[in-house]
Amino acid sequence: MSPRGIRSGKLAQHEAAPLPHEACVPAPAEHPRQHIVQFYGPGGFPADAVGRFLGAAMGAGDVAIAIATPEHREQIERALATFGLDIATARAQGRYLALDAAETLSSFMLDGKPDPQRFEASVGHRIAAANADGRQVHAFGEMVALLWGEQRDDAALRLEELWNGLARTASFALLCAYPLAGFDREADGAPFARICQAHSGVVPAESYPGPDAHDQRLRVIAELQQKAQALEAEVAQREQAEQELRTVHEVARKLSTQLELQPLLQTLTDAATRLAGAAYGAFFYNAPDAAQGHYLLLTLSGAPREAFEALGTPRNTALFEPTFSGRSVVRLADVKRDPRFGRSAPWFGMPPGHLPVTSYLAVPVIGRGGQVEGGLFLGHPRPGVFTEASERIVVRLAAQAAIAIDNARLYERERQARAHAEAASRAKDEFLSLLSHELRTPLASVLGWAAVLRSDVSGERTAQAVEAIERCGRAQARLIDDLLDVSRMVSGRMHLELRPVDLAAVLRSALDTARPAAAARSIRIEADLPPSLELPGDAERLEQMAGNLLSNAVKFTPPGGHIELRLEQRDGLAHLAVSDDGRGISPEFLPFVFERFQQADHAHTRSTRGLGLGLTIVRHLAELHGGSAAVQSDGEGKGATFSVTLPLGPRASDPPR
Amino acid sequence: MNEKRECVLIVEDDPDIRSALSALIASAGYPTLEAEHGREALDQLSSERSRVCLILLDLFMPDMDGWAFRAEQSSDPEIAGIPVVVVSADAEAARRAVTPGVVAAMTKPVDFERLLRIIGQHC
Repeated sequence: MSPRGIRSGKLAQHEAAPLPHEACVPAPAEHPRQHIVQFYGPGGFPADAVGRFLGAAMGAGDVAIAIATPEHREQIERALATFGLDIATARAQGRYLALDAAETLSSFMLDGKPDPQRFEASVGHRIAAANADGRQVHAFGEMVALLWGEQRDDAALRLEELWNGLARTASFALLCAYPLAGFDREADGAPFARICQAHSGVVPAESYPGPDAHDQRLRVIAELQQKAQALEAEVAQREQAEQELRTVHEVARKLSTQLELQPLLQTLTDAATRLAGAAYGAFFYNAPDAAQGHYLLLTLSGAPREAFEALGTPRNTALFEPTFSGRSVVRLADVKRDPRFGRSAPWFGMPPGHLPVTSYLAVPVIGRGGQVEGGLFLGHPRPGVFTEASERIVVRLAAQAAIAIDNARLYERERQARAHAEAASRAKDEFLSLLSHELRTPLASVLGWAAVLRSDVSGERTAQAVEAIERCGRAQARLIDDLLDVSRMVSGRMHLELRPVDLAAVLRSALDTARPAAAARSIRIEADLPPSLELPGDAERLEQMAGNLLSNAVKFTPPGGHIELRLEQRDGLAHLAVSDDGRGISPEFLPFVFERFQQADHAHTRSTRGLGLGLTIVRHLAELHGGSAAVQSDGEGKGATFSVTLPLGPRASDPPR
Repeated sequence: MNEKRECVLIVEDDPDIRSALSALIASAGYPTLEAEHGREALDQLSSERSRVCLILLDLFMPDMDGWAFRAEQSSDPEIAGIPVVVVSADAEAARRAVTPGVVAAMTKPVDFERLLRIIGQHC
């Protein structure tokens, strides 16, 4: 609420003016019972005008009464002095009476209202006394303005009425002064009119030409009318702008709390469609397909999904290009009249079944890094729906949306990174637990057989015990070797001794090693090997690789199954393949079989022994030889084929000879 | 049918551990039965349940693992009452497997003195 207090003026700066003849306030003799109201603006208290009004009475030998604030009394008296009036003498002769407005007011207020009897006793009798001496009275009063300043509107109007009542019995002219600042709200209009009604004359605050300058007065009124018109228009414009800002702010707040991309874009599309007065809105996320230049439809407003699905995604045509490239806003009263419209195959215009769009507004959404996130497209069947204001608001929304999209992207990226880190950490934990299990198992056997040996006095179990201890010790050593190999591979410290090697001979040796374990499970291994196949390689590592493939096949083939080992030379490469008719590999797991620490079921049952490092080592050794490893399986229960291809030349990178 | 309940059933997929446990328990004077996994253990119990005083149960096994065996055992009143000692190389898994009916959880390598004490209490 704006302050209504009576402001002090700057009268001291005003030029001294000649006495009453040219004053706006009518002379007392002509209008003895005038009740005038004088408004004043930011220019300050009109001490000049008041001085002229009071001075006119004093000059004519009549009585002047000033009921004002101390500050205004001082200004009034200074004004009177500049008019050459002797205040001290006038005061002594009872022709000038100065009263404090607040004090006088409190002398007749009762229960917050001016009391008629007390008013009569306090103010009325002074005027009556002057009248009794046959003198006219000019009174200046600010008590109503004080009440008004305290927002006691009813009390102020009541006091005006008391003054008017007094005028029926006493003869005096009254001048009231109100600061205009007390009426600066729209709601002040009605009480302002009532105050004016309570007076027989109104003096506006602006400089006011004399009563005879009729033409000039009309000009001033016209100017004021124009000013009022302009002000009203500006207020309306500002109100609309404020409303827009509020709405944008509201949507922005909603957008900023939304970290999921899809609902965020839906909020944006709905808001833009509603605020721009569009019939339909769509947000196309900028996901260009390199081959076809297509964009992915994400969110719709005001139209069912089916309305778009049949059409496919919009292409980077001349009309859409400024939006998807982020170059500019496109706002058209009638899209069909635009020269860019209807120039692209296959439809040369809107495809059949397209929503009827005439008014068209497309705004790019550009992210913090300058990247175009997408485009906001609004349409309406009628022409010329989108105004500058709707464009402005959609552009603002797009800017807010870009920030929210960036945030959502960052959040998503962060969430993925965290999920990835958590998965890696889980895999490591699982591996450690598996490692502990796998190291303890042979140890349990070794210690178990050692205890058997200790209690076996007859010695009948000695051979069995020693054999088991040796077997388990070797198994554990192999486990540790595998671990160290993987550690070397990861840190890039595994090196090969490349020499000409007969791979067929290496495979025969690996086969001999694998046969006992296979025989123990009644698994038959068939081999189809050439007499010899020479290539540059590390014999020990190649045998390890073949051994891992064979033991992997044995491990995953049920008793009575078959394993086949093949080696052939084709296209300058050695092709090695190990096939089994075992449990096979599910398509979901297939891409991961060569990954470290991966075994299709270890998390669940650990039903198969081992750390799941064997195949990782196979692939790495194949690659160190310049070759590659691959796996093929038709699914669970359908067996699997692991194949390794190795170059016959000294280095894979050398050109074929 | 009126044989004494004195037999220990060893359910363990690792043949070396299984035969070592069997030899040890036998040398302490208790006859043993062996099973490679849960399903085989159930088969053994279907004919020999009156002889079995204790089951040594590994957890990670192919075909039917220790948890699945426990579920089957608990739902069959004929064998539900036979006490079980869980034996696993995974200490945490062994601890968590202790439920009513499981009288002890042991980690591999096994503390044989403690194992023989427990067998002594139940057989």
